[in-house]
Amino acid sequence: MNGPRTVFSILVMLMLILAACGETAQTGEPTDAAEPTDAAEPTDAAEPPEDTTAFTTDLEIVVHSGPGGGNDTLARAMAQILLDEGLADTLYPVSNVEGGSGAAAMAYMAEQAGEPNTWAVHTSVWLSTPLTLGGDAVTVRDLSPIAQLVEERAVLVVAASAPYETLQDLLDAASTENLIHAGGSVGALDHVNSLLLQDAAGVEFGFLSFPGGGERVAALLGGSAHMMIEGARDFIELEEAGEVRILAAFSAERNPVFPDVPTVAEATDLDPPFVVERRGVIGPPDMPEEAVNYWAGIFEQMMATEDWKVYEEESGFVPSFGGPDVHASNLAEQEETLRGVFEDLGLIE
Amino acid sequence: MESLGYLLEGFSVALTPENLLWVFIGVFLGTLVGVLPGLGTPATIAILLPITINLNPATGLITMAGIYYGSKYGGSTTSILLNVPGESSSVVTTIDGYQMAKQGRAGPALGMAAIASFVAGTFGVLGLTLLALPIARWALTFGPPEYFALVFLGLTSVVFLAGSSVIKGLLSAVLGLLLATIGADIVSGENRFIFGQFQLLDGIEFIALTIGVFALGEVFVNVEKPIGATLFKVPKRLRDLLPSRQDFLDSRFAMAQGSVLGFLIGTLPGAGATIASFMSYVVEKRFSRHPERFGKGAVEGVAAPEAANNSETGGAMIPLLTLGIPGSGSTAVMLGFLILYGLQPGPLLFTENPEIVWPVIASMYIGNVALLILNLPLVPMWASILRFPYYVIYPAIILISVIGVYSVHGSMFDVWMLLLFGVLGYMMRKLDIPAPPLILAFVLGPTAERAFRHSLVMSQNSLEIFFTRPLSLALLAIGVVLLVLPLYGKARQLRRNVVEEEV
Repeated sequence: MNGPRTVFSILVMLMLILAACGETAQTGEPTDAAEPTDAAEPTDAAEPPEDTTAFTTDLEIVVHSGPGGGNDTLARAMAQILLDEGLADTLYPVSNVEGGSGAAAMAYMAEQAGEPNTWAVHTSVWLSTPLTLGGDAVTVRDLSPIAQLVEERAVLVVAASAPYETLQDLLDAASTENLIHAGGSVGALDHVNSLLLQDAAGVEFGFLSFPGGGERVAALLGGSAHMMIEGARDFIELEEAGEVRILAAFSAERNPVFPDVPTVAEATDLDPPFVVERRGVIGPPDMPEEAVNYWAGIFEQMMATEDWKVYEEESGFVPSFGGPDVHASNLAEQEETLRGVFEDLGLIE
Repeated sequence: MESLGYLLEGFSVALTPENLLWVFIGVFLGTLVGVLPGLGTPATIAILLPITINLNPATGLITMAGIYYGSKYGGSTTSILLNVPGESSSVVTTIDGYQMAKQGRAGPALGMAAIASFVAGTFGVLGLTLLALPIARWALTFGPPEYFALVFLGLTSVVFLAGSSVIKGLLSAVLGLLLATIGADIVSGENRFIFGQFQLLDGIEFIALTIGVFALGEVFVNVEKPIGATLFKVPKRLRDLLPSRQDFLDSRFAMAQGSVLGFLIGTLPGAGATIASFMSYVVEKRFSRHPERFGKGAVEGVAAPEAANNSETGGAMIPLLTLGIPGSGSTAVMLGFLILYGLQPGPLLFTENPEIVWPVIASMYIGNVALLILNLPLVPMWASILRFPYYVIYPAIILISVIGVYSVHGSMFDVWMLLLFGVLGYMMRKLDIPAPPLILAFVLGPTAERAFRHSLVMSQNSLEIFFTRPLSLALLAIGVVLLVLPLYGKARQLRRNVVEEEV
């Protein structure tokens, strides 16, 4: 029984080693002692240098998606840029707290109440999910908004083979035909914006929800659906290949990715109150004010760097920095719009 | 045929000694980690990613290809040896694979799995090379009605997985459908049956359900029996540890149809390796001359799904490379590779950057070959895991299962679900209710429901749409026939019995 026993013990050891590696892979860095930041970085010349070691030691970045998901790549890029640009001393690890469309990550943040060295990169789903959960679910009002970073503006596209040249054509056709929108889950931003458009124009679209972007494109190109409303960068390749036509930008200003495309207000006479996808940073409940301001300052500096600008452009983000107060009020405004739409949809618990 | 030329060029780029060394390392590590249940391919790659990140892009890609195939194979290994499916595409392999292991034929099962995967992988790459563009356009014509019809076909094939009692099979399937309703309903946005637990918003975690019902259920049932010394007999002769000529002969149809079916299903975005493996198994059983052998250790029952879930990768690369659409879980991983190395997949990638794409495809193939070369000799080693006595293996299974399930989301909630489903698995086994229909229905149910409701949106609530579209009509008809035929046969038998009794 010697051979198998050895094999078994080796397997167990390997398993434990891999589990340990898995831990570090998830958190991004072996958990060794963080170097104290003696030369504390002042947020700007006017303020006295503070001791910010408490804010940066053992810093944890939280995201609600899995490795490779949208926020995960953003968070990792941020950690890298902060390190490369000297705004951080180590590569901050990213914790993927998945589950419940953000609810798990929000609950996790609530547990870190009062900590200055945790923040999460979030999207509007942190507004929608608590609305549908109701009850004791953690909301952004429980947490501490730190900064708004970027906007992702959506555009409406149709298949290149479709007969609609302008958005107005599409809306006119909608009154007689059953036009269908392929999008994400009910209550996701593309659906919300589509509903706002429908309300303003007095038409109705059918809605097909697909969890994955790939399936939506397949439905569009295969003729099962007539339009999609997504972030502009998702369509760059398809537009170049002549597969889709971009009809309108769902934002107040034109989309820098497709500067020739009119906004909804320009293409029609409508001005629906679109909910723009924004990515921002938020901290745990009762985060110390000095920490909030410190991090807001760091992010402001980060967004001024070359590395960040390159990343922004590659990702199709529109810079839209806002400090803690701006971020908080924008979140409140979006939450109100979402609440209205969700009540109409019957999604509020 | 310039694609073929590009493919060969791709090979020449990918095949360097350094790359070969790394791909073998990737395969070995991938298998090792993939063996841990709950660690499916994406998780395995995430864990081993740090190793590849410092290599140059071409080598990194080829290593990741090795890891990818290794982890798939690792998943099959645990399916066969321990009745613990590593990921959804290996669930079907447990049906016959584990039975083979119980009969002391773990080696041939593992070997056949590797060989079938290899053959199918080859077919997949060739199909991709030669047929990409026309198939891509064809695949786009599949709309919600066709998806529903396809999945309906899959669900009715439950009858063929049901074993002895059709009623019990259907019961298991319906239970699976019920469990699948838990979670946020994508079409209406309502949260169904979540009882206020936000962890259930995404539905029951697949791994917790599968491992609970299969592995823990098995452990709990066996705990009742008096303890024996060794689990299964493991033959000592090397010859018995590899597939025999007869096994190859028996499996040739399985490998062929598995390759083709898997490839075609793979080209449909949203239909992945799980459906491919189930369908292939069912087709194999339906057209076999000895259908009663299935479920009792038929080697074709291992070869068919293993072939299908491998050629599915090749098929799924078609929408990925022609339109930038990831077709399924496996290609979402691939998409990750490409993006990681700075490539933006889209319709133009294939035509504008063939010098990048083809080495990637060639790397995938090399990973596949490396898997075969590396793992066939190791089959005896893997098979000898079964030499351990019950009291070592079962705690190990429980340990690995709990770790695997916890590692998915880092959530204890999932672990409690695992235990709950372990109890369910135990009860099902005691009542002789088969488990595979439950899993099949659980996986396919949501797709079927979504496709059905989408079709109604498209047709504005008219059922005609299923019958006016030719492909959907055809698939539905086959499904109905499959459902009715065995019942008809049983009805006839029942009538005959009654008549005999009366006489």
